[in-house]
Amino acid sequence: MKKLIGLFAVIATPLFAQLAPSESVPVGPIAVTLLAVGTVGYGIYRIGKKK
Amino acid sequence: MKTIGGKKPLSFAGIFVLVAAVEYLIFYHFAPDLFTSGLIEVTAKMLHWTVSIFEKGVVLSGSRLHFPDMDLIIIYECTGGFAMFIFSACVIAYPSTILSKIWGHVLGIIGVFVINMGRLLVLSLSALYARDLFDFIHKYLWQATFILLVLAMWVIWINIFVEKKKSHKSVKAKVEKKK
Repeated sequence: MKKLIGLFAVIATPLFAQLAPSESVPVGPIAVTLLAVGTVGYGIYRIGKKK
Repeated sequence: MKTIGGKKPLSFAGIFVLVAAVEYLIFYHFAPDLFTSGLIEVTAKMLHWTVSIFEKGVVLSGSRLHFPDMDLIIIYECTGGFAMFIFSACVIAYPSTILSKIWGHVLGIIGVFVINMGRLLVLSLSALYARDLFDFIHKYLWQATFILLVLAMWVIWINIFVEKKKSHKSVKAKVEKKK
């Protein structure tokens, strides 16, 4: 499970950093990425917990 | 009611990435100007109306709010749209009933809008009364707070709208079996 969350973070981070438009300081894209990793990470954890 | 979504962790993550990418293309990249500018205009007008309660001297022209010491320009990224894409994609991808997903979107749209308006109001007040703190609040404090609040919404949705309903159903089924 931890490996899967880690793998998702590795794949999703650059993807969402690209999707989110950048500002002069790329805080927005980083925040969007963290939000995506956090929500999906928790979702994966909850689905994994049920089994 | 039938459960829809990724039942395995990997399929959940895959559906999430797919839905988030489609929503990004539809509601941002290829979105008509009427939609994006409308969203910006609504956000700017709501913010101006709220800020006017505290300070009458703030002037709105288009998507720009003129404060005594600085201007705030509302852009698409200020509307909370990206947070909504992520929340919505998670709700669609998570294994749950259609009714739970509808409730998730109602909670998501209202929640993200309220959180974002709170963020913009705090930023406006800092532009008015604590200009030196504006950058810190804008770039760090509210980014982290926004993430935590949307994560809290996500946890609440899973625990109340998905898992609680499931446990209610399983208790009902057990009671009926005993009868």
